[in-house]
Amino acid sequence: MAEQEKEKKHRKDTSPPEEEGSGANPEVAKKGKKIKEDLDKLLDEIDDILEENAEEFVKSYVQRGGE
Amino acid sequence: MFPRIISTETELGDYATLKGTHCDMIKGGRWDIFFKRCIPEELYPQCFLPSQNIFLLNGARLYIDTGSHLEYAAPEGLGPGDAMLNELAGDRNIEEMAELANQHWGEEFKIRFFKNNLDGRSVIVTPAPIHHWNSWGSHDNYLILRGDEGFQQFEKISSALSPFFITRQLFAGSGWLAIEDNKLVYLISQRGLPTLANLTGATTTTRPIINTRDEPHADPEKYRRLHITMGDSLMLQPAIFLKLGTTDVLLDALEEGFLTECPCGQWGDKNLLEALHIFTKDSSLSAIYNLNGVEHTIVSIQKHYRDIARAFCETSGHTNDERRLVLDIWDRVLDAASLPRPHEKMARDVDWACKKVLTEKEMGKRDLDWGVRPDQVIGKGGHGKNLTAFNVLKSPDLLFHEENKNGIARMLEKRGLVETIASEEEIQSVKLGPRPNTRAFARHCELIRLRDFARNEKVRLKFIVSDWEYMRAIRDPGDAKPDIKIEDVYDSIPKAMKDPFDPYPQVPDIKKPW
Repeated sequence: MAEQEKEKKHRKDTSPPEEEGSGANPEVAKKGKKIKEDLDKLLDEIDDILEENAEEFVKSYVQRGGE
Repeated sequence: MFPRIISTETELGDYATLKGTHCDMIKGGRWDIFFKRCIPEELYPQCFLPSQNIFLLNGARLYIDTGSHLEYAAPEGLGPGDAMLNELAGDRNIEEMAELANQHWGEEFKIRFFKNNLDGRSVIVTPAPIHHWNSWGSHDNYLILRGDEGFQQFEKISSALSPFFITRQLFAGSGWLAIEDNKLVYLISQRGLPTLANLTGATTTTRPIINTRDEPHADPEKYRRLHITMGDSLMLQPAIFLKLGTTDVLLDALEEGFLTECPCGQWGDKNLLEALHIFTKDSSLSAIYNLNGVEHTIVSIQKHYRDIARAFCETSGHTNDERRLVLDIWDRVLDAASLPRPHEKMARDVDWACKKVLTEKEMGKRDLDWGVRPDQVIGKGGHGKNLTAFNVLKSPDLLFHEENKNGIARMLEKRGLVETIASEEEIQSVKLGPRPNTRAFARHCELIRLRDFARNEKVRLKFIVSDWEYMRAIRDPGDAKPDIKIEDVYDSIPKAMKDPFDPYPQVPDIKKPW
């Protein structure tokens, strides 16, 4: 199993403060915030899938060229 | 043409492992076994001789393409909604084949299919080995009316629509985390830069963008087929629907003479190349391209085309609920694209935006940001190998595209985290046969008829021709005594399925010579 820390660290939010209502449709901006929160939950669940063999997987996902 | 016949072809990436280690599908002769054992009976029955190039009972074509990829050519659909459904049903079929393959080979072997266009070696933007990037395609096809301008028709399409095609990645790009000058960069599409690599030094700009196939697979006096090769394979329904629906309405506007030239200036080859390069690399969508003193962004160009499409629909009467939906979603995505940090606002509709949000979430979890060195070691992975920042962030970027009912994109859908256009029931309803509104339905019926005939007669049939327009099958000669002549048992008259709009052509009875 991965040696790195399994405990959930405090999530560092990489985005600057929201600028609500600065565009055409504030509804859209609100929805954007919601999906970020919901994704947190999903990512917790798929953590193991993502970490397992990430190194090998990315390097081995090699194809021949197509059209 | 309204409504229009549209179809899509998807080349799939594959990742096979034997006892956990990557293995080759070609060297092991595994494709052969795949086609023999891993296609469900309802898609290709045992009474049809297997081959690596087949028509499935649902009217789709499944084959190994020249780049050794599995390719699924979905059956023709009437309008973007049907075409999208047929593509999604194809994804469900591919998932099922992967499951069958894993069952067949047992615990030690696993195959996974990825609906994307680049591989793990194609990640360095500069220093510039883009020519060595391994890229494979997602193609969209549109039946168009043959005008009287002859070859000029394609010139007209490309001059009016090339700026549209290089900017449609705004909603039709599938995103790609890459490395440029040892820094992370988020490309909005996978096919953008490889298309560029093909264009450089080419004598005609449009060839890699618009493939002007004059094999319409239909009456060549009436029709042509526009074959777009630069598209990305997409997972999210609104993105697929928009990609097909926007192209469809603009072609209609062009055919009807409403759109006669590019609505946003005169774009030469050099301009298109430069803009494609800049736009692909800028996921903030704010990059400006100056064309003869006028400033354009990827959003402003798409807005020009959207405005034309709306005006066309209002004045021409070529509109229905589906087309209205295309325009509404186009509006929604363009509004979101105009906001700061647009990926967050577009994430429910557009693949690259959703993936970029996922990437930033992963960064947040691990205390990383966009300034991290890609080769920074951040821990140990499986097998005790060093885990780099790039590889741990690249993992969700790739896994998003897995053709798996438990894959990331499907999970997002199931939890209502992304928008959908069709229900799962609608997708399932065309999994084994298309809607009865195009020739694809006729093909489906004929294949069913042949299957029932073969089962009844307890024979196996070998296809000596199978094509979008007709089929010819004989009894599998494998079991025949040498002195017995094998007669054709089935030969659909080539004219029978020539009309792509006819789901019920007249086809001859199946003869039985033995």
